Amino acid sequence: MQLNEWLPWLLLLPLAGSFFNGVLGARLPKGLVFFVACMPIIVGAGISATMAYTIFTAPEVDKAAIRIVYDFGTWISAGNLEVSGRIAVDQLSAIMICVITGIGSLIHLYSTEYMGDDPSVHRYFSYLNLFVFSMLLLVLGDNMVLMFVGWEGVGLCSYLLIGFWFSDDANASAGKKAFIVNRVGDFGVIIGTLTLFFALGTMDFATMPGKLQALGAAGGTVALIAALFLFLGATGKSAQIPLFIWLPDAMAGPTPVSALIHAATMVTAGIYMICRLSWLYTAAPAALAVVAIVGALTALFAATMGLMQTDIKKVLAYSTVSQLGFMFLGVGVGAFSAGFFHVFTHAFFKACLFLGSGAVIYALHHEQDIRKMGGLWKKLPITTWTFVVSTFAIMGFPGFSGFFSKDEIMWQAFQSGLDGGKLAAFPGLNYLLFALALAAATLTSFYMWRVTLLTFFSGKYRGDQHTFEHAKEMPLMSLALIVLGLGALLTGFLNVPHILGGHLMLAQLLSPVVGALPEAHGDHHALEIGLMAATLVCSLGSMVLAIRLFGIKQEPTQKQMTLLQTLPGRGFVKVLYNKWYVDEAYEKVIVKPIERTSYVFFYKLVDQFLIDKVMIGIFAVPAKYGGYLVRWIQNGSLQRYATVFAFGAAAIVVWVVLR
Amino acid sequence: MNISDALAGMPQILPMIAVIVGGLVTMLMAVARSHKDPEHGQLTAGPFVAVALVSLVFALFLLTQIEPQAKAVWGGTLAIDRLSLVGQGLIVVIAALAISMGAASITTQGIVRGEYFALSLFCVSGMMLMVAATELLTFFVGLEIMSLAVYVLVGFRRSDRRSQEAALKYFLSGAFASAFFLFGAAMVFGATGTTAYAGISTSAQKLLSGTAFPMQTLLLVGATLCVVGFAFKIAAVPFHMWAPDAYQGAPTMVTGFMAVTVKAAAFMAFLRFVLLALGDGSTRHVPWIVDVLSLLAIVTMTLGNLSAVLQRNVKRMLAYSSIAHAGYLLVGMVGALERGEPAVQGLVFYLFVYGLATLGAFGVLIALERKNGRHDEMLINRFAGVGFQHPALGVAFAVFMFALSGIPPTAGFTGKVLLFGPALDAGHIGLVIVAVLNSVVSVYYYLSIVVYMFMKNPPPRQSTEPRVFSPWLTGALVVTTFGVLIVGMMPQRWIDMFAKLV
Repeated sequence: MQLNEWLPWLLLLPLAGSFFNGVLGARLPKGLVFFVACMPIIVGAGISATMAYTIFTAPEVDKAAIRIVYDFGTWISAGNLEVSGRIAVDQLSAIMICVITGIGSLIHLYSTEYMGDDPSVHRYFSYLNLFVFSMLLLVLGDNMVLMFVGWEGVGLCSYLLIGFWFSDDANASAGKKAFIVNRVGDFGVIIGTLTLFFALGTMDFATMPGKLQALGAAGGTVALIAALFLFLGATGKSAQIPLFIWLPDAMAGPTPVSALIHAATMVTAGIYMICRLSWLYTAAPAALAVVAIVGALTALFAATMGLMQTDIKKVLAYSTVSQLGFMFLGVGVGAFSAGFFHVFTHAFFKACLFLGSGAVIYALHHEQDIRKMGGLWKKLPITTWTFVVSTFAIMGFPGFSGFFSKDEIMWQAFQSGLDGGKLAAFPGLNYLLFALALAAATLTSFYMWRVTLLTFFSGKYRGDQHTFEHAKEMPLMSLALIVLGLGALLTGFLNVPHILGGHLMLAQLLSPVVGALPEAHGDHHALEIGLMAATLVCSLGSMVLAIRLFGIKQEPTQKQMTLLQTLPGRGFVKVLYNKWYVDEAYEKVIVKPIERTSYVFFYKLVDQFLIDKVMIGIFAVPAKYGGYLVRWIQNGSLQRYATVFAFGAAAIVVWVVLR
Repeated sequence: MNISDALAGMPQILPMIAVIVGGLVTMLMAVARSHKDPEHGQLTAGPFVAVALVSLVFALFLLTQIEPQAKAVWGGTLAIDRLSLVGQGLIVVIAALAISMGAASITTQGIVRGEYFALSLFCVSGMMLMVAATELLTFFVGLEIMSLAVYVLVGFRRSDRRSQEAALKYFLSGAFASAFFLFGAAMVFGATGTTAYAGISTSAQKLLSGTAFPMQTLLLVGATLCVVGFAFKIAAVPFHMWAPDAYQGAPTMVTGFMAVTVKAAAFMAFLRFVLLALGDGSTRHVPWIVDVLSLLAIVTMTLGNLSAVLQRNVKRMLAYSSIAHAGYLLVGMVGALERGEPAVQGLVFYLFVYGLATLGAFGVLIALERKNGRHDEMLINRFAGVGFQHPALGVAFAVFMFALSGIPPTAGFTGKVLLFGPALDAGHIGLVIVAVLNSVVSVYYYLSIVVYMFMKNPPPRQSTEPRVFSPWLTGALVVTTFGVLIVGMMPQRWIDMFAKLV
């Protein structure tokens, strides 16, 4: 069996698992449900690893061109629209499928314990498998349309899983919010895709770049329009300004879902898309600048919101938004592999953090308020230490994965404005981007240590003693945590920069797809080391400050505690706690006017008046009486039937002869 | 025609022979087995279905083995071109599904008798003859083989007064229509001196360019009366009046069988007649035919849909729905007359899609039937809450209703695009607008059943009679449901099957 013949199975197995559990799961023993749910993903992880191995160990001559392709045949053919059913693995998607199936397997295993007692666990796993299928389709699809099918599929699964416990109204509306906000973004994706189709006449990833080049000068405009609209889609799916508001609410879903969908995979789809279309964004430097600015702003803005949250998952949610901002900053300065490298490392440490928070929530019977935690390290050692490792990673402590990836982005952001950089056309922008990123990194370190300390350290447990006594860790959950913790520790070494003696291996591997990393002219080694040191000093400073404030062994003083309890009530802190009132602003500016217009125009005027009164009067009433007339003719008497028949035939004959 | 000619044509009629032999075997089985099972006084349907399916599958296999050729065989009476072979194949496949579904129904209704299968198979052989016939009398023989079998099938539930009444009405109006057709055929023969389509086509071209009276008029009147005969079989308004009564009175499995296979066979024979006798495949010699068909299409669609809206009985509603679909198909036939090959492809593809969806819908009705079911069983309010009691059946039914209304991603959408597209291309904009508006109207009654199924609470008191589980029915429902979806989502290879029919 050729390797590419395994490719359809990668997609079909999760789909079959989803179908099986969705249709039959309710009547099957839980063990079978778990087995059916986990096997496709684990087998898929094996297939993905084999493919990645084949691609990355290919002989040097083939490296640029190697792809593993499977063709399902023509999917749609209408006029000059030709959409193939081709799926392909190249360097970029090879890494993505490994992340999706690898972390996906761990999260499936974790879920068997975390969700094991839920009465509709089969439904959960059905959605989760469907998600894996859609996400794989998103990254494997070899044209815009297949990617979009996957894009919509993950959106649907995200909606279903956020609202998984839909009997609680808040959860259901969180799901709706995610879905509706994403519709705005999807609209952008559709427009961007259609722009590309009308301008280039194709939607295949392989042929589009050549077609764009052939357009010459007009290509720049096309690229700018398409790139900006597609980026609107990316801000929806990947929770950037202005569409980030759904992600914090999405924490209403089960925690493993937050780890898989809202941290490791789906939310990185926007970055994946930009990497996939790197040729398009390179052709539109202005669009790249927009991506970078939005990314940097989001990184900082979300970090400020993360400072004062008291729900452990909310902190992590804002942290995700902020880290996604870093990734967009990376791709926005033209360093696609740097941005993607952060996708990769973030997938490990953020999944680990989320699963760690899940383990805490599970152990404490659904307690999510960090003010009522503390001192858990005695009870949950594995959770604690993996959480700490991941916190080191996310703050960018040297040697941990986040250090390498974040630092690469920050350096690329800075050097993009130097002579020969991608954003050299926008003088001074690189300083702004770097400053925003530095501030965000500083805050990141603070809020992550805040949540780590308040949850696991800070002296003794502050909640109900009985709950604390019974807190315990589960084997599979711990296994997932350990594997992800090791990832958070080690994955950074895949892409060590030159100044630290590495070769930027990942950047080289990806260069056939996204191009080489941009290099400014001249020798900037001293500058790079200097900036790295500055970033490090800021993060370490925040860490020390957090330790001083919240303590490890010693409890926070009474004053600090009261401060913590009453913080949300005061001044600027209140603004931060309430997330800059962004939700309220959206409510006032967008939601309410739409509601009012809909009520007056669509409900009162169109529905109640035009349709219910006018249209029914004009069309439905005559149709009804016409129907009665027909019914009167059709009275069951054969003689009448024959009469109608004869007269009908006669009328036609007469008409034919006389004309 | 001599012996060697007949022998040369032998392989081409083997598929029909296979079906007839299947019918004979089921008949003999009924005789042999009726003495063996006196205790229950009833046979089990399984072996009969198996024999019927074997003969149909074998016929299908034989059809795939025949090399299509332009020249007709059997002295110029039977075509073995692609239209004939693909058309017969389509009928065989749909009939196989319909017979599988029927197995459950005759069991529920306690009328397992071998004749049901024998008649169905004879009926199929008649249809195959109709589709292949390139000559008026051969067609008529096929038509009568089919019709007589169907008349009996409609009255198959002998104990039921309505079934008898339906059969009698259908038989009498059928005889009436056959007379019109034969009269027309006689006039055509008088005008052209031949009954073969090819000969009619040549003479018609000559006659219609010459003087008007009397031969041209004779031909026009004769051809028109033949068209009336076809219009009766496809249940086009105003020759449709038998259909609601027959559909409602017939046992459900027969209704499904009729609504699909009879319509498909009649349409394909009709198509061959208007394309090849009243034209030469690419041009049409008889200019009025498009106008007549357009007119029939408009009144058929409109009346069918408006009547369906008012129905409370789901079987009767589906009968009117099938009348409305005859209208849509006539729009496709107008396209076929104007545009030739691609339009024929769309028309036959739509017959296939319509067959799957309609059969599926009747299959669900059969699955919901109960033992000793009463006649009001099929009233729409009996469907309240069915979607929750039997989720799989409910979802399948919804799929079929979406397909019949032409909503993506079901095959109905693709089918309607291909059906109406050529007519639109040829400039029949008004006709296509009427067709699309009619599709909109039809959504109302199709979805109203779905609304009942999923949005209303079940009635408090329900029959406790058990439903009969049949693996044949379940299998056929799975095939039709997934067929409608798969053909809708990946239509290309299915469309290609119907390419280059003329």
